[in-house]
Formats: sequence, C-alpha cells, structure tokens
Amino acid sequence: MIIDWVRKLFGGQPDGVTCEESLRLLQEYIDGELDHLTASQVEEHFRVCKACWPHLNFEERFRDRLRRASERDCCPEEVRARVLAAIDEVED
Amino acid sequence: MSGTEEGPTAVRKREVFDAEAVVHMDAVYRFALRLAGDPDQANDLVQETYLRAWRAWDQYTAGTNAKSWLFTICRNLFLRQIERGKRHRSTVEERSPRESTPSGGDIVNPLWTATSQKDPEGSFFDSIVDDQVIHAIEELPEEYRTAVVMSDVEGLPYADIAEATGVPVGTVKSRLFRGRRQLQQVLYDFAVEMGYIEPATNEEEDA
Ligand SMILES: [Zn+2]
Repeated sequence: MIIDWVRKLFGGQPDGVTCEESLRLLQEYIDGELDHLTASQVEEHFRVCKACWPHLNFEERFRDRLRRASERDCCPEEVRARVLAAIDEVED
Repeated sequence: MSGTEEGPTAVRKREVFDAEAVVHMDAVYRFALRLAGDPDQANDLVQETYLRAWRAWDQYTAGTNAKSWLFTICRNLFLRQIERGKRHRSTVEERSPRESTPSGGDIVNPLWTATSQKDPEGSFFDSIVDDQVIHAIEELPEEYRTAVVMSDVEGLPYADIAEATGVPVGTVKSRLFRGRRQLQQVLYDFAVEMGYIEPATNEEEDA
C-alpha cells in the first residue's frame, strides 16, 4: 500500500492506468491474475472512473450469476457413500 | 474389504486423502455434471475419478492444487468416454497467441455496448432462472465450458486450468474470453426472448 502511495506521488502516471488499459486488463483483474501493484491501480481506476465502472459491474454480475446457478448442485449423499466405500475396498 | 493394510501409514494416507481430495467432492461432482450434462454419468465420473485419484495418490504432489488435479482426471475420463462413444465432440477453432487476448475494438464488450442504454448493470442476468443459466453453460463447446466452469465457478487460476487442459495460459485466457462472451450473448438472447429486457436498437448496436 505504501509503495503504491509513494509511486503515485513520484511515478510518471498519477492515475496509474488509463481507461483503455483498465478495460484491456478487466478479465485478468476479475480473475485475480494481475500482480498486486497493477491490480491495485486497476481497482482504483474502476473505483473512480464512471465510464469504466459499469463494465466491471457487468462482468462481476455475470460471474456471480454463474456461481449462484451452480451452487445448488452438490454431490448426492448416496454417491458420496458409494465412492468412499469403493475406496475402502481398494487394496493398497 | 479394507483391512489388508491397516498400519499407521495406510491410515495416515487415507486421512490426507480425505483432507485434500475428498473435501472437493461437491466441486468434482459439479464439474462432472457440467461436462456430462447427465446426473447418472456424472455420478459414475465422480466415482471413477476418486478411485483413480486414490490409486495414483502417491503421484500427487502434496501442497499443489488437489482440486485441479481431480478435475484433470475427471476431464480425461470424460473425453475418453466421448471418444469411445464416437459421439461428435464440439471443438473450437483456436486462435493464434497474438489474437488470444482482447485487443483493439474488442476491449469493450459489444453486448455491454448494446445493453448499456437499457440495462447498464446487467440486471437481466438476475432475471434468468438457474435452469436456463445451467443449460446455457452446458451448450458451450467443451473447451470453453471447461475453462468457464474451472475459472468462474470453481475459481481456479489460469496456470492450473492450463495444466489441467494441457494448453498454454494464453489459450486459457482466449477460451475464457470467448466462452464468456458467447455465454453472455446466449443469456441476453434468452432474456430478450422472455421479455425480461428490451432488445437493443440497431443504433445502439452500431455505437
Ligand atoms: Zn476509465
């Protein structure tokens, strides 16, 4: 955090990343694939940029919908029991 | 029956297997169900995946991602079943690495552009029932479906998805990008069809 703050003070780009860069990095940002510094710069951009924030919101809503739809599926108890019993029967 | 090897080592091995592999059974089941689209086949895939994992447990590197290791086994079993059944497998055209990440005009989601006037927050996603969302996921080509489920639903990092599917990280990114866009389009079309959202006008689409 302090490093980011120092870079903001002395770095060449006061805002860290541009709109174009933020949108280009959107997927990797959402997927948690950016390094800490870049992620915090992108996060800050989406927080303050009214033009870019809706794009982030749209993608997050989409992902959230996929997760919620999938959560209902759990391994049936009888399958779990059958799998564990089958493992018990395998000789080491 | 168990009992052929009840020494401390065998007990310990089973404890570690339970703690690192068995805990992911819901996730493996979900993954198998999305691949197969059929609960009976998913049940068999889960059982076969865990039996193989148990037999190969000595080859598993402790501390690495057991979930993606189980997914790898599960997917390989599924793909082999498909080949054996000689069913046509949907494949997607892989792009060159240069095109594998969004660039140029592709940066802005065209669907977002189309819906931004009427539904900038993508509320239409919430109007679609679970069954339709799941159906849309299951309609994706296998490569896209696997990447989307591993990433969006199960939260695996690109590197693990790449290893599990035997492709470079750039290809994973590309599959996720294209798979998500395709899925969003299907969900949007469905929302329009159901009257949850007004269709975008041509003017907005061209914007
Ligand atoms: Zn911006």
